[in-house]
Amino acid sequence: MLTDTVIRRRRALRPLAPLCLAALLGACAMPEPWVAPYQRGQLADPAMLWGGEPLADRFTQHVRDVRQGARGAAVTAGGGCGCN
Amino acid sequence: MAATRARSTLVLALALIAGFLGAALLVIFADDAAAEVLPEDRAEVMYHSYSGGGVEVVGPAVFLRRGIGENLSFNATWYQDTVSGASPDVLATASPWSDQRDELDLGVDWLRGDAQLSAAISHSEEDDYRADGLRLSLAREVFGGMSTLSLGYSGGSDRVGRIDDDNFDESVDRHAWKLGLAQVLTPRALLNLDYEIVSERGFLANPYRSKRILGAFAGPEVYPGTRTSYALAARSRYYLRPGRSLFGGYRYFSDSWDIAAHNLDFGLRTPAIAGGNLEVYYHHYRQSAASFYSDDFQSEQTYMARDKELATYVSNSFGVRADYRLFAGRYGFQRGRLRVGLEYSRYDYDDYSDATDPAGDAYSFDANIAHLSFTGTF
Repeated sequence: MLTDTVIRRRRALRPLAPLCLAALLGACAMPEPWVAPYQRGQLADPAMLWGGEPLADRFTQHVRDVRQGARGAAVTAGGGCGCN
Repeated sequence: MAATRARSTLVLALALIAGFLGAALLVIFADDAAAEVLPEDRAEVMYHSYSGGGVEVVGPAVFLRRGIGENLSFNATWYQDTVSGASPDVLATASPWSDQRDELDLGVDWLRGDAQLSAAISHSEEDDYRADGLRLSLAREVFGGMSTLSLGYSGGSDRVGRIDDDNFDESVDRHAWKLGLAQVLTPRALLNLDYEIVSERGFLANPYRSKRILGAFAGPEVYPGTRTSYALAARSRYYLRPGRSLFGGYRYFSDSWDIAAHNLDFGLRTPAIAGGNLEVYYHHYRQSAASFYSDDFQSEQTYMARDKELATYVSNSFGVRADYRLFAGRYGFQRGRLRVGLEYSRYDYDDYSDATDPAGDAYSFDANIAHLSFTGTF
């Protein structure tokens, strides 16, 4: 007998299923990188960075966390262009 | 129920251990030939202000980052809030107050080839609340630098008090696990996917707020002792021309209290005069109410809350951020920049009313948010 909590948890994890499937398929038949390093100059532009202002980003996130019932999954700091 | 909870905790613990073992392998076998870089050294000072819904919050903040060699970088943040006033859900049965919160955060980033390990500790203190936290994260570029995979854990332990009762002493324990993917889509487009589970246990209510039954305030709220939430976000940036990009994102959230929430953001960043930049954005948020929330209960229940952040509501925000290059190569800095941010937000509640308002209409309020900062890079 599944409790409501378990059912809710499984429902929330459901969006991850396509990602897991994609990762498994990707491991079997990994395609070649389709954007070469020399094509990534535009991705290194400062306008393409997430989280470039540590204090202002922390302030905005703090206000959102306090005023909203939801939390989590903020953008990964430093995640980015893969162009170094 | 207890067995289910124990099983869930065990699954989460095993997932954490397996994740970190995998991540440790990623770091150990990192490609030394690859050349990730750490963020640049900088000093930043900021003054921030929030005004809305009867609450004023202002304060300064300082951030320092300094590298030692090419693979190690330390950072420190001091952040202060001075809060005055109180929101109407607290004002219904308590007086407005003034309080100061000081937060200190110390972190280190270690780079090894194309992998980065980050760790940080934090301590926050105010008259009636104390919080200690730890954060760990691992990130590695894979797939020829097209993807960055990241894994994060944060844990915290809080002490909750009451300003008017020395004997009131409660605690909250918090654990969060995060998985992230940053993916190059095209020579102009990036995609970020983030998933996070947050689990809390302890005293999760506000000790100053009361529940309302049949129109009369009837003692402190009663919350469940646990809360587990799930959030999945997708965000993207698209390059238009030098210094100009479009960005947007969506987040879905659900939790064990039956709250479901949606965030939607989009904006434009563009160069402005004299080497400056301008960013305009829109942020939308909506959520459904927690299962044990009511503005006015009709009878006693096991759990009862009247927190407006657990109600059904919508908010819309418009913001602008601008930065301006002040100088280059002076005062010991390579560059000095001034930044300013302004945001206007509107909150409209469906099922929450201001108890101090005789009309008893659905509550809404406006908030003005601002910050001013100086950043010097070394």
